[in-house]
Amino acid sequence: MCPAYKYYYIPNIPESLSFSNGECQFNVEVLVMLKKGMLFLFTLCLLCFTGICEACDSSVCTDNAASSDAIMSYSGRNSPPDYSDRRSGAFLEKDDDGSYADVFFVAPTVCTYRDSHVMRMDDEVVKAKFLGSINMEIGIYNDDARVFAPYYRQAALNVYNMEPKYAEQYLNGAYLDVKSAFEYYMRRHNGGRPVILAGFSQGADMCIRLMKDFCGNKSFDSRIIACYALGWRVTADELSKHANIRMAESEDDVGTIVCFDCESEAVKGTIIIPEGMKSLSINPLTWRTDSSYAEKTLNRGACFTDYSGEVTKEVPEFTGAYICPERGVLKITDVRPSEYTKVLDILPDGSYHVYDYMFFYRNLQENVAKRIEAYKRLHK
Amino acid sequence: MILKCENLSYIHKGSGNGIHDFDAEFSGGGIFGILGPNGAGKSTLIRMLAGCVKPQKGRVLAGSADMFIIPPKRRASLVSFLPQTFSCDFSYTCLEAVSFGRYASEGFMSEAGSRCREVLDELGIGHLADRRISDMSGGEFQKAMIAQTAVQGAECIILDEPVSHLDAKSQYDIMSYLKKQAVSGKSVILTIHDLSSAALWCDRVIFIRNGLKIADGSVRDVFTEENIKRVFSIDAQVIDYSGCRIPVARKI
Repeated sequence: MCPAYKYYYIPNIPESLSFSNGECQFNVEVLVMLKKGMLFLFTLCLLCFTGICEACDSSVCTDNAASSDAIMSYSGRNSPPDYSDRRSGAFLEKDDDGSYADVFFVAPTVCTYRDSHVMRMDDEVVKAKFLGSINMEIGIYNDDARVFAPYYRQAALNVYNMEPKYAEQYLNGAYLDVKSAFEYYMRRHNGGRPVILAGFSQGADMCIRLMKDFCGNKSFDSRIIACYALGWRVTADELSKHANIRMAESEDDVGTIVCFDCESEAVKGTIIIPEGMKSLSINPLTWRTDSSYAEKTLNRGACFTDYSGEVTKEVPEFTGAYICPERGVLKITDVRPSEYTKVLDILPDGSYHVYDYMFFYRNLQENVAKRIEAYKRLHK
Repeated sequence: MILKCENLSYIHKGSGNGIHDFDAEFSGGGIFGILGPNGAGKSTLIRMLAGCVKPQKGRVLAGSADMFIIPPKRRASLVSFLPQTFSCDFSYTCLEAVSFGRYASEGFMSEAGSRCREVLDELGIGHLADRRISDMSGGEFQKAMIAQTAVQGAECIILDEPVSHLDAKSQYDIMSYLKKQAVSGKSVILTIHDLSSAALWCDRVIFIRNGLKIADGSVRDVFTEENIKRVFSIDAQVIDYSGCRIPVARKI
């Protein structure tokens, strides 16, 4: 069975803790420390996610408007990252390690500030959570690929409760960083290699924005293997406005967006796919886009990971699923919401958003390998 | 669209301030001013009306639909809200910042540009379209945010103290722009501290104190010396000036 993760050189570890042995640029001691610490941080993160909304006054939790400590103003207190500085990368691998492709990974929302709306680049606690969230998921993608993952001024969780025009100011701001990081990566690190874009939740949103901006560019089109945008949405309206992007319709179509978000059968709307909206999804058990039901026997294994990337629990044949014909969301058939709770208060009971990649971990892992092979065949 | 609140209540933990059993209806265009002393519950009320704070009791109806079950994009077409405070971490250009107002209906920086420029011109800051918001004065930035709120195209515009902290000219520019919106049929609901401004610009005013509605009606009916004493605890003389009832504080 494939390992769920592999370790990487993490350039932002303090100098005093890191060393290079010439071939392998990571520090075993540090990684052991990180693994121990990450378990704690993962628990802390879950507590933050679950606790913050319970602890705070409901006027804060249900507050859709921007609120801050300043009257109408530009704060200017959070400078953009300088991506030529290696410390601006959570993951930034060696220039050549012999692997075939690259993964440009965009982390999900880990920033749960109550008093502001943007991740601060000097906040080491949030940066540790940021790194942990990448570790949890990156094992799906990195079997034969280098990983690049930028820190970015991501929108805090509270932004998702805001009125759209305010939320978009923060999400677009986050995207400006991601785009800048991607352009720097393409210029400085890519070297003509094929690339997978991957992200979860806010990270998926960012990846879809990259696809909208870069698809149609010959150089990008020739290098993109696929965009795994898990835990977000793409609507038919978006597709009609961006003629160059395509949704995945099979297990091996190249240059496409793989997208789905999970929920129980009873859910009617979430912040990801609100009621009345329909997303274009693919079923990771069948790699089909119709609404046919996929038995759980097709599930190669759900993997539950921690902040170190370690698989703490693996369950083959975990659940079946089908795409809801009305909402395009992936309906999960063999899981009870009481067992896999929503974790985030901004989600309704029965949302499995936080488990999107965990429930289908092995299927996704296999599919990444298949799409890389398909890309190789196409570009012989 | 009729915006209606029924039996609306929200009490803040700790301070105990808030709104109690508030009923009101807003429709047909006009500027509706909500006035009261600090801590009276104005901002809480207006944030519930905008769908930002969920009432602990009662409901807000936009037409026949409960504000809190309307999906965000649909709600954005009904109500556009400008909060009292807003701080942006990203230095967009003025035009970009205004364009976010069209996000719910068209997506960022779509064909909205020309409409956004029109509104900036109407507010007298068309020449600042390409200026970074980090380089704008407080008054200019506030006008840009008013423009952002307006270009959303919602039937009802809700603003929490839109002219506080601004100089007289900026206040005048913003209030006259909002008046044009009201004349065109939009409902403009705002909180305001300046009684004279409210008297000049509002078509209807609501006085609240300690979370309770004290008076609701035209400026002529509500701006009485008794009401002002009761709500603001000040002795005022109300004088007629050019058809307006202007309250003036008495000399001590």
